[in-house]
Amino acid sequence: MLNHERVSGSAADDLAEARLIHRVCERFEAAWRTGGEVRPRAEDHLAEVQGPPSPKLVEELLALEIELRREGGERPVAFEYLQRFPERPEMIAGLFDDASPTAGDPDETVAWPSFQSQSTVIDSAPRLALGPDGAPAPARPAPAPGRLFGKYELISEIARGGMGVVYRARDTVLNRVVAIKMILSGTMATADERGRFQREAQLVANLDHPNVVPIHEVGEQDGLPYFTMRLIEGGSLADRLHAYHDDPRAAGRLVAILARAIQFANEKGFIHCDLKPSNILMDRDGSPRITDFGLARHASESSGMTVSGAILGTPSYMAPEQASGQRREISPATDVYGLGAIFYELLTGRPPFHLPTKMETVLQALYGEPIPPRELRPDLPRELESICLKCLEKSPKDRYPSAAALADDLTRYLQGDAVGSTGLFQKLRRWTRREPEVVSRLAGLGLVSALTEVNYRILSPSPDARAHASIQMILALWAALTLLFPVLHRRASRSDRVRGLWSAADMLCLTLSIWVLEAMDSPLLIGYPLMIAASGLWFREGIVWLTTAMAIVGYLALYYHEAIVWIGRRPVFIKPSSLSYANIYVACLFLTGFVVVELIRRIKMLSRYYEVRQHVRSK
Amino acid sequence: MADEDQGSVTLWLGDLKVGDLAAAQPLWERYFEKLVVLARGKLRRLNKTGAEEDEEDAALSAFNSFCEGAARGKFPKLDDREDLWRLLVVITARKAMAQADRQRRLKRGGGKVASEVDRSPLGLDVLAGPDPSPEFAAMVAEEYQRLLDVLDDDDLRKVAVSRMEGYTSDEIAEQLGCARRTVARRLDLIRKIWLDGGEAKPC
Repeated sequence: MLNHERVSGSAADDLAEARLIHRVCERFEAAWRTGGEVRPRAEDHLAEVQGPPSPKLVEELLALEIELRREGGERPVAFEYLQRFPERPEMIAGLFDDASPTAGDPDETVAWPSFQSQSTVIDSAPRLALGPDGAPAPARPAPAPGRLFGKYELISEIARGGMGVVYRARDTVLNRVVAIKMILSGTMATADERGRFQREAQLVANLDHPNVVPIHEVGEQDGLPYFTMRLIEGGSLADRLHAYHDDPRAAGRLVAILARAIQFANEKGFIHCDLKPSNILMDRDGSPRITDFGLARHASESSGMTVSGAILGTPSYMAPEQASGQRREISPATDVYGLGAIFYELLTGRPPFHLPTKMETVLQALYGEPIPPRELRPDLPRELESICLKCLEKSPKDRYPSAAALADDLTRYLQGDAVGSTGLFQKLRRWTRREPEVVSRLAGLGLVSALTEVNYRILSPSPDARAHASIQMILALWAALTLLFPVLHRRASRSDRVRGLWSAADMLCLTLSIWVLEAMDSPLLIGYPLMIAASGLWFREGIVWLTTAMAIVGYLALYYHEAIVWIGRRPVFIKPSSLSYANIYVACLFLTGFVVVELIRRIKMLSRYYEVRQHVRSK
Repeated sequence: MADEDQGSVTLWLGDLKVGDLAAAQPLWERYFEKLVVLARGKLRRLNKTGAEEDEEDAALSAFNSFCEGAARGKFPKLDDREDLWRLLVVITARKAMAQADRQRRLKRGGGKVASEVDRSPLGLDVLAGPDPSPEFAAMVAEEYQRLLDVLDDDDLRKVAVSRMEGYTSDEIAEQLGCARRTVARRLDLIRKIWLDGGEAKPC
């Protein structure tokens, strides 16, 4: 706005900003009016701006887009914009709330529905204009703080999650401050689902336990299902993880308390299914309270998403039976896993599985083992590590049978009694799962070595001691490298370079053994494509290509060696069979690499698809 | 604005309290009407030597429309800081003041920064009094043309002239076939450019 008493420096900045806004918006409007079917998106135009776009620019551009859409007869809703620009809820509230003459006719700005009480006729009138009669409830946006929502006066937003928004609100009837969670209607499309949510929430409201956040009321206002809970002021455990970092016993005590509360709920038939630090709220006096009971499960069921619905929430804390979408497998042991995941993070400061992409995290949750806490923090008591890992067992039957059993074991430890420890076999099994690359290689090498030994001692008609010794040495070297690389790999924080080097070393060892055995014409050549396929398990296209290149180089080296030997031999005209079809073999190696890379690409694409989808849903 | 006590125009356009505003509005209207009529005459004379007739006519049309509007009692409100007419007069008044200062400094041997007390009544000659001086009206006309030139964009110029002709944002949006938001945005930019250019480049 015009204010000529402003200091001149900021006025110049203002002008520069206004020019930029003008430029971007003019371009957007021009694109809109000339684009025909291809409609410009505000996001794209913002992306063309250098540096982060200023709030004013975003606001202006969105206001323009909204006006242009209304001009075209559309009724854009705030909910959509909240999804597109989740980081600017206030601005979007303002845009749809704006009664200023430049933002459109005041009577048109009803997309952000009025959240006054339903009892007044005037208030409900504009809402009727929102959706066509009989149609499923339109995607309703969350009301902005400062509004009245039924009898609740919304004070401020506390949190925003995949399902809804939590506000601090005042109950104007009982005059107390509560937390109110609204379920955004995108999550529950039909009245039937909303009814189920209500019934479920009512059941949860009966859960009366000092460590469970009590639910006061369940209801529906303006088509938005909501429930109110006691307001817990101390924030969530996720903000307090550091407090437990140096005190594993306190972590143990906390998990024991949580386990007892979970046991109580489990006995009543509730399974939480989404236990994680951010769902543990901390009272002012530091006592933990579990929130979102059973609702996570409900939300993912009712959203009609079977596979990706199971991946709703963060996979870092998800039990394998949940990550794989086997709903029938979900049992109290699922919550034991969740408790274990919380415990793990309390002990080590990181969740059990945390990889760059959700796909990798889910794969890890399904097939991998968490790094034992004591490897991350050697000073942790061995007993706590074994309790924690027992909770995180892949198979529910290997975990504690109930949360109570976990609580008992923890209490025993805290009282200084012996804890049911893990056997050697279990440790070995965990290790094999944690380091599948190492284990599979060592097992393979051991097998080959043993077979070589058998061939040498029993089967071979004319044993060649030197060749035997060198092949066994190569196998030993290979095994040594196999043990060395995981260490490097971990040191280099799992860098791709180490993975590439590892592949190269494998290839070298394979080539060496074929060379020593003079086995160019033997089935041992299958080793090359096998390695290429195996390198695909890293899910890195670059590594596959590198391995393919190394395989081709290795094979060609063998080939030329053989060719030189052949040329030096008499008579020259009898070509050894090992030298036939080399071009075909090389081409096949290349094709193998190509196929593996293509598979990786497709898997990544799928993974991105689900991640984007979930991203959108969680906004 | 330190210069506000220097003349009736700037006084009127400054921060008046609500009560003063009501009293000042009729004075302002009378003054303003005369000023615009004078400036229009000046603008006409300027345009006789101008090159492109259409464009100059378009610029003049704002003054013509204003005079028609004034006949029906339509004046910019004193408290409407966003009005372009008001802005035009403010910018011109500031410029007149700066010029007066500079001339005075030159007379006294240059370089010396004028203090508040130092100010000669020259500024007041130009601005004060119940009637606008022809010199000030001429400056308004010149300033108007300069400000339109500063806008280096035909779309912006069209919006500025239409606005000064007295059209509402909605009407302008309809005329130009663009969004209302766009008209508002262009007006905002126009004001910012004028305020920036009106002060940064004293001639």
